[in-house]
Amino acid sequence: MQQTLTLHDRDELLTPLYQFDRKFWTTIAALVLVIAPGILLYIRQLVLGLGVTDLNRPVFWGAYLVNFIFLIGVSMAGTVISATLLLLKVNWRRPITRIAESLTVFGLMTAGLQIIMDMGRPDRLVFTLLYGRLQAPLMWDIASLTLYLLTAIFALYLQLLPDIALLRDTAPATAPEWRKKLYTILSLNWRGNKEQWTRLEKAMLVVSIFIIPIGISLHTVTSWLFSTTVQPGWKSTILGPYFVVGAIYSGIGLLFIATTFARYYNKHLKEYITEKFYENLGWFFIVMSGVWFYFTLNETLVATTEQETLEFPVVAAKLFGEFAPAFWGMNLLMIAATWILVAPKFVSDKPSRNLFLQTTTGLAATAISVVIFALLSLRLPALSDPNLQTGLLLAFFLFFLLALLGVTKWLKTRLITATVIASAFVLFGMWLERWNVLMPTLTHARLAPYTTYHPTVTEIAVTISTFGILTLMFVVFYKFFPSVSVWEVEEGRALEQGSGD
Amino acid sequence: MNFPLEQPIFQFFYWLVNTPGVGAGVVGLLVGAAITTFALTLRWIASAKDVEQEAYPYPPKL
Amino acid sequence: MTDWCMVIDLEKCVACQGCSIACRMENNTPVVSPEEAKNGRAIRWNDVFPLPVHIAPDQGEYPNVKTHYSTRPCMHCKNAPCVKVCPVQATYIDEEGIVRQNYDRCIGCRFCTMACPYGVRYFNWFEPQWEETLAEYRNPDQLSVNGSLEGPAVRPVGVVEKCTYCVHRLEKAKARAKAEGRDFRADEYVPACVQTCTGKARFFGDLDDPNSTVSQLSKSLRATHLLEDSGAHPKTLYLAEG
Repeated sequence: MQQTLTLHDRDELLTPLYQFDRKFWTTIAALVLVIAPGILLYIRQLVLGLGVTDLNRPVFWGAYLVNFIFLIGVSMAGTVISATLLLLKVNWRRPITRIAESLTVFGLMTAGLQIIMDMGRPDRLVFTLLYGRLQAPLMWDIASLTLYLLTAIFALYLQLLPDIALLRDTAPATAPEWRKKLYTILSLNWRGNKEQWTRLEKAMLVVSIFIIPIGISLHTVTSWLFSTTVQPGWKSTILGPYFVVGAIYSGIGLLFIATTFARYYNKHLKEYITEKFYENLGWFFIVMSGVWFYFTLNETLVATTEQETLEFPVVAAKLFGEFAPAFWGMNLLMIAATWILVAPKFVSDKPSRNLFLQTTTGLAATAISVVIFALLSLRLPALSDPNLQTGLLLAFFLFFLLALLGVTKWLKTRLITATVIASAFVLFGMWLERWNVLMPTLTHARLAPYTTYHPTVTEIAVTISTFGILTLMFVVFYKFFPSVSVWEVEEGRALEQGSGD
Repeated sequence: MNFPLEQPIFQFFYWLVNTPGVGAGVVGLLVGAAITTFALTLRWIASAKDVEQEAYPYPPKL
Repeated sequence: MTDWCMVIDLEKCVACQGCSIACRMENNTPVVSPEEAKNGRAIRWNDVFPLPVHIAPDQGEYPNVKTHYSTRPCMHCKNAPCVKVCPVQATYIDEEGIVRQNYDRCIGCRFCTMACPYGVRYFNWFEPQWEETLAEYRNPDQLSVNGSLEGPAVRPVGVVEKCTYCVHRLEKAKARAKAEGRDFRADEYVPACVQTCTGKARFFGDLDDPNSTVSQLSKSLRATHLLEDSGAHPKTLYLAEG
C-alpha cells in the first residue's frame, strides 16, 4: 500500500518538475512583462534621483515603505502556519507547510528590496555594515529582518532536505546533469536512516520554537520605526500588536491565494491540498478578522477621544478627509471578507426563490454600491449638498447589505472560490491599512504645511513589479522543488493508518 | 545629581549604542551565530550514522 | 566648553526673509523650480513661515488683521531625535553643540527627516542645479572633516542636508585667530542669517558664557522654545511676541 502511494505521489508531484511546457514559459514571459516596466523605471530613479517619485517634504516615506510593511506582514504566513501548526502537531498542515515557508522567504526578500529602493543612496548600503549604530531603529530592523530571513531559509531547507534526497534518487535519466548535481549537493548526503530522521525532527521542532518570537520581533520592530518618532498619530503603543495581528491576517490571505494558484497550476495538487485545509484555516482567518477589527477600533477610538490637538487632524483626515476612501474602503473590504467567510455557513445549500438571495441581485447591488462609493470618494462639488450625501450614504449601506445577502447562496457551494475572494479582499485591505497608518501622519506633520501624496507611475510600476518578482520567485522555485512536502504527506498517511486501523 | 550617565557602566552602554560600527558588529555577531548554528545543525543531521542498521522505509527503494 | 546658541526676537522680526536668502547664498542651497517648490521640494535651511502653520495665515477681518510669522533655523537640539535615529552616524553633535551632517556618509534613508519634529532637515530629490549666473556666485568656502566636505559643499543627489549654524564660518574665524597668534573669541563668528537680519532680531553667541548676549537673553521672561513638548531640548531660543 505504502509503495503504490509513493509511486502515485512521485508521478504527480515530481514529474511536473521536469516538464518545461508551454504553460510554464507563458507564465514566465507574462511575469517578465509585468516586472520589466518597474525595473526600467527604477533604473531611471537611480539615475535621476528619488525626485521621480511623488515624495516631498514632509512626506519623506511613501509607497515603498507601505509595500515594505505589507510584504513583511504577508511573510508571517510561514511562521504562523508552519511553525505553530507543527508545534501543535496538527495533521492538516502537512500539504501546505512548504508553500507557507517559502512565502516567508520570498516575502522577506522582496521586503528587503523595498528598503533598498527607498534609499536615496543605495550605493552606500554597505555603510550600514561599516558604520551601523545600535541606537538607530533602522539597525534593529536590519538585525531582525536578517535573522528572520536566515531562520526562514533554514526552516525551509530543513523541511526540503528529505525531498531533495528523493529528487536526487529519482531524477529521470533525461534530467539535465546540472540539476542532478544540484540535488546531490543540496541533499547533504541524506540517506534517510533512522538517526537522521530523529535529528531532523528535533531540529525542526527547535527551529519552529525559535522562529515564532523572531517573526513577532520583526513585525513589532517594524512598527517601532514609526512609534519611535514624534510624529502625530504614530506614538500609539498599539502599533506593535496591531502590526502583528495584521501580519497574521494578511499572511493567511496570501497563503490561501498561493495554495490556490499552485492547485490551479498543477491539477494533481487538488488531491493533496483539499477543501479540509480551506475549511480549517478559514476558521482561524475568521478569528483573526475579529481581532483585527478590535485593534482597528482601538486605534481609531483612542485617537478620536484623547483630544490630542496634533493627532486630531490625522484622525480627521482618515475618518472624513482625503484618506476617508482608503480608510472606509479598507473597513468595507474587511467586512465583506468576513461576511464571505462566515455567512455561507449559516444558509442552506438548497436553491431559494427569495429575491434577496439571488446571485443576480447580489451582483447588481455590488455594482451599484461600488458606483455610489466611487461617487462619494470623488467628492464632486455637485454632490456637496448634505441631504444628498446622507441619501447616498444610506443608499450605499442598503445596496452593500443587498450585495452581501445576494452572493451568500452562490458562495455556499464554492468554498475555495469564496476563500480566495475573501483573501484578495483582505490582502488589498491590509495594503490599504498600511497606507492608512503611514500616509495621514506623513501628510499632517507638525511644523510643515499639510501636503498630499499621489504615487507616480514609477512607484506604481515598482509596486507591481515587486509583486511580479514575488510570483516569479514562487513559480521558478516550484519548478525545482515539489510544492507539497512529499515526506510530510507520507508521514501523515502513515500516522493516520497507524492510528486509524 | 544622580544622572545615570555619570556612572561608568552607563557610559559604556552609551558607547555601545552610539558608536558607529558597534551596531554592525552586533548584527554581524547575531548573523554569524545564526549561520554557524544552522551549519552545525545541518552537519549534525547529515553525519548521523545508522545505529540499528534498520532503514526507515523512506525514500523507498524501487 | 563653548555652547553655540541663537536667539530670535520675534518682536523685532519683520518677516523679510533676508535670513532665508542669506542662508541660501552662504550655504549653496540648490534652487528648485516653482513647480517642485509647490510640491514641497524646496530646500530652505532657514525658513520663514506664517504661524500657526496649518491655519490660514491672516486672521480676522480687514482692517483688524492679525498675522504672525516665525522664522526657523535648525534648533540644534541637545537631545536631537535626528542624531538618535541615524543608522550610520551621518548626523552628529560636535563638541560645541552644533548638529552637523556628513554628506559623504548619509545613505538617504530619510529617517532623520521623519524623526525631526521641526522639519528642518531637507532631502536632495534631484542632483542640485543652479542657473548659470547663480552658479558663478556659489560660496567657495570649504570645510573638510576627516576628508569629507561638510557645510556649504555642493551636496550630491540623495542625501539629507540641514542648517549648520554656518559652521564653516566658525572654522574660518578660528583659523584667522590662529594665524594672527591670538585666542579665538566667541564674538568673532556669527552665521550668515544673524549678520544679515534686517530688524537685528537675531543674536548669536556662547550660551556657556554668562556674560554673552544670548545668555542674558535666555534669562528673559519672553524666552521660549519651539515645541517645548517634543522632548528634544531645542537650543535655538525664541523671544515671544509680547
